[in-house]
Amino acid sequence: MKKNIVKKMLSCLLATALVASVFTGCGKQADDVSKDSSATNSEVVDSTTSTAEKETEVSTEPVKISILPDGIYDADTDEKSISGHWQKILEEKCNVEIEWVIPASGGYEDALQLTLLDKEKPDLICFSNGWMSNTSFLDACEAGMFWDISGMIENYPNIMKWTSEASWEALDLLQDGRIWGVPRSTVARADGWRVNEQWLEAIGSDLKEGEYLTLDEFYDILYKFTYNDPDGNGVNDTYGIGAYEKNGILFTGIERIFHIGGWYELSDGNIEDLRYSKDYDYYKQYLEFMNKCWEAGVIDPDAYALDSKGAKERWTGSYGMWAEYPAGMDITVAEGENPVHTEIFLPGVVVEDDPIGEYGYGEYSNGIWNFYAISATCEHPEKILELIDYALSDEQWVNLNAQSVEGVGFTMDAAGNYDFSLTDKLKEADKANGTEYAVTNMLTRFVRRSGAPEFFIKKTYTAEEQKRLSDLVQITFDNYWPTLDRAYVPAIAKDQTFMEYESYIKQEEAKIITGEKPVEYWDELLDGFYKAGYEQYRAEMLEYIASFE
Amino acid sequence: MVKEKTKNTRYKTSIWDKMFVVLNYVFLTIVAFIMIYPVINVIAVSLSNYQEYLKSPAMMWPKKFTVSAYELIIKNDKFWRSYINTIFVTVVHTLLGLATNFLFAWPMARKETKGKGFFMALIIFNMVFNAGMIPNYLNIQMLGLLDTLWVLILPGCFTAFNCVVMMSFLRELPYELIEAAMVDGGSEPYILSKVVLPLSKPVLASVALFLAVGSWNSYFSAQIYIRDSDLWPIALVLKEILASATTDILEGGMDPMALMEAEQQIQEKTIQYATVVVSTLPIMCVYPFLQKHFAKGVMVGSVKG
Amino acid sequence: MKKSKAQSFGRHMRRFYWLYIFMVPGLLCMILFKFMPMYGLQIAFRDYSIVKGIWGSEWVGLKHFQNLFKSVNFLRVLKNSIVTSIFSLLWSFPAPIILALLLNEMKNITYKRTIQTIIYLPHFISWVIVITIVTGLLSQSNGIINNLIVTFGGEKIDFLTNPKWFRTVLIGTQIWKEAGWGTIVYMAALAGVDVQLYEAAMIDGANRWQRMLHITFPCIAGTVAIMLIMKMGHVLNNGFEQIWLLMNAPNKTVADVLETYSYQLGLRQGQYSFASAIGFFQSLVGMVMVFVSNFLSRRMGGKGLW
Repeated sequence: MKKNIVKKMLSCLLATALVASVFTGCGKQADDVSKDSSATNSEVVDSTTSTAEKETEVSTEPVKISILPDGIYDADTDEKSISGHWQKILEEKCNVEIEWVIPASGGYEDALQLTLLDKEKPDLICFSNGWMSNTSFLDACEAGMFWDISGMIENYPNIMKWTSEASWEALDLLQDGRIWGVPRSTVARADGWRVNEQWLEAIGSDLKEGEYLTLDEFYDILYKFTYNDPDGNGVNDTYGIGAYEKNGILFTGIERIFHIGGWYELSDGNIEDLRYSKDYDYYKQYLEFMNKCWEAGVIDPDAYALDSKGAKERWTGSYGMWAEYPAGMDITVAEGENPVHTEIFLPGVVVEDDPIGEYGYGEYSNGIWNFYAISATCEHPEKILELIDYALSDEQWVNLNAQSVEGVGFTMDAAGNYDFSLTDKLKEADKANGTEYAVTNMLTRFVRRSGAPEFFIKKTYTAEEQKRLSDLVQITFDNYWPTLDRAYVPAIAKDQTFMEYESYIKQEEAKIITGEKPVEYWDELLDGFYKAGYEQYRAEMLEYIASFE
Repeated sequence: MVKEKTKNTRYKTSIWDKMFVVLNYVFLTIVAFIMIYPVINVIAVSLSNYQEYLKSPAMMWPKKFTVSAYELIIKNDKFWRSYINTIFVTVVHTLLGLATNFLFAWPMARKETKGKGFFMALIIFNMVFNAGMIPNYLNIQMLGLLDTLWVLILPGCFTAFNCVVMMSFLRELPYELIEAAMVDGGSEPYILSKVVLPLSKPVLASVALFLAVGSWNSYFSAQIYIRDSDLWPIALVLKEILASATTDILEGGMDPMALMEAEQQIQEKTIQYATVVVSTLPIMCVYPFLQKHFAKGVMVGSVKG
Repeated sequence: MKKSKAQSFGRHMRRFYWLYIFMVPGLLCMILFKFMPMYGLQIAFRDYSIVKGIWGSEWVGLKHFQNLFKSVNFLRVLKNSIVTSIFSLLWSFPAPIILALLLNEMKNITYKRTIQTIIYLPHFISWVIVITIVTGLLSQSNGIINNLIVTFGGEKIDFLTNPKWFRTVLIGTQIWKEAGWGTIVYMAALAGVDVQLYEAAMIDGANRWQRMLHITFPCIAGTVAIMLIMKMGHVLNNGFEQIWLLMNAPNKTVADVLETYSYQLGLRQGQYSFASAIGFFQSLVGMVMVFVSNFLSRRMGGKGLW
């Protein structure tokens, strides 16, 4: 009986609160989400004195939210797991009930396509960047299959604060002011190279960390790494730089030196993609340099047959340099490691007559690494935004930043030092029981702040080591040279002829690098590409870029 | 008398004949060595320390022997659950598949059946044309089979290849036996079960092997039609373990954290290979059991045309 | 006349109705899972959009086929598909037959079974792993094979990236992985050969070669013919995974086949209609090839599928 009365009271409260919330606008409370951790009935009655808004927060039945995430494979809601704990915190704070819908990661893209066919979709779907120009997705947006969140996001201070402006511009997919998703932000930056410290010593180089090189000095190091037997095993089995095939072209990071990667504003004010430019011969210089490297043998002859995974396996033993973000560098010697391997960071190489004027690069300039779209079938888009907003709040950033959950995986003292012994214990337990309690993949993959490099630095390093890495990360930020295309893809890129020529030109490029064809061949290829539609592509792109000025 | 005579003929075998026998043994032994190499390599890597693998990926013997990879797998209950799913799917799929294919192949092998050309054209059409992922998905959705194990069992039951293999075998059966049974007044089901079935052991064994192995190794349907990871078959779990590192590192350029995670997973190449071993070992063992049916000459005593 | 036809049909049905009942489960399986979704083939003739659905998408007739045939790369890709198929017919197809025949000549049963069991094992190793192993073996920087070549005074060979070597590597790995498994069908057929025939032949003084030629081979010829006809149905399909894993920018000129082409320009870009058009073309050619080869096989006095 008593229970019934409470229930009735509750529902009355609920109704008034709902009405109130309609008038006051919902979801403003993200930052000061009630501090009471659980929403038991007694507490609800106690809190009647607080504002109507707050009551909605604590007294409503939890809203069910289904999420199709990307790259999360341990949606283990088990209490004992770090992920489970984190999910529980989110659920309680935002008064939601999260259900993870997890397709096989190998078939993730297929799963997205098929999800579009379903009438019942998960409320929140994570799409990879490619979908920003995918016809199916654009059609779906046009047809109203997803929420346009442009009118809502302003109510969420954390989302606004921790998302780059360029991301919102990029997510205005139909260029009409509507926004189709919340980005999972990443850091926009200019990567350099991780260099094997012991090998540098062996070849007698005095390269200091953070120092810039000229192209000749750079080549000199690559050459010595290859022929001066830096690993001292007496066999000629080393190469200057790690290389592999990525999307049909050879990737070494060297193209960054020549600013190949997107549409930049050059020092003379022109806007160009230097790869396919007819006015600047920078790409030919790049090809020439690559050809020189290839013929000198400083690149692994297997490079074209390796993918990033295969090349990475060889890197520590066979390559002197590896193009990558510095935060994950090996800067400490692991116990029993043989041979000893540590790295220093080479931020960039400067070329004469640089059209930008210095080393600068920036491929990930819309700051998006996958984005979340909210299905139109979802009844509470505001709840979802609230959830994301809360996950990005300062309160949760402690957890996201440590990539574990405070009190479960780590503790922190007043000075902000992390102690991960709890995670270590969980790991040991995992090893003994075959569980996955210590896996923290959900925290690292759900959302993150843009421009927050500390997220990528292991908190297990000493303060000094963390400082060293964050300084290096800062360099990659300083070198960041924004590309203007925001990963926009003009419509002509879907044209059959265009696509074919694009794939053809990549395939022919390999011949120039391996020396089968002269560098002049590039001009011929470029002429063909302009005829095959690049002329129009360029015009459309410039128009798009101009629309932001 | 006969025996002596065969012996005599053997004695008469030419020098070429002897050389052939020797060369044949040598050749097949070499072939066997080449073909077992990848299997040995996978097993060796799975029992080795990862650092040793990086130094000599082509190893044929474990280096710094360790079973830690296996310990990890065996303790994982996800793995065991998928094992049970797979065993269920494989057994049911094999039995149903044998039945449907055999029942279809037998009339197709009979002279009396009318419209064989039409049915054959149907089968070939089905083999050659494929509706595509999206229509197939919509169809499975309409049939209400999404997220059930039946979606792994039913669609592949009848396949052109298995049916044709059976048919071509059944066509070679001595027709006199069937005629004799018909004259004796045996009904068709009787002929099929009592006369044909016992004679068909070799082909049943090989088709059973195709069905079982195909079912055990298939991951594609599960990847498309099954979201609930509790229902995943072992092949998909294996695929996930093999693929995760690759897909992650491709994305890795976009996001440094993904790259670091991927790196941790790559460290576990030995685990990948150990998973391969644990997940394929049971189905590998099916073969020797079925093998004896291939080796027997079943049609001894019958007259062949 | 008509009546008698109907009558004889009725009589036939009364006598053999069981034969048709036997076929019901198979037919049901085909109808439910194969024919029902076949309406999806029309995607190739429409501009398919997920939102509009199959029936709602615009009908464009042969547009995608025209795009396909006029594309600059199509002829090269088609040629690659056909050449690869021919190589596979010449090498990969006979390999299991030869292996089966040789195994059949082995008298030591235990040894034979051991060999048999061993050679079918690579089938279970997935392509991803086989290609990883092959890449390791053929690597130019530290591969065993190239190291051997150098030891014997040769020059390193770029097996993995040279277009000239691509097909050799492709067919080689195909045989390596699948030939042993392929013997199963033929071993089953060989099990059906009457032992008395051999004995009789031996009494007649037929030597090994004659026995193989006149007894063993005719007995499996039917199976071989049927396997060949079935293979013709996939004459333009070379399998995606293996080629995709072995293909790279330098060898793409010969490596790119219809499946990889369709994947790059169709599926990966969400262009389902174009990908479907390629698939439809492959199937159509396969269908025609099955009919032609079946006809030829029967014409030459052998057995066909029907």
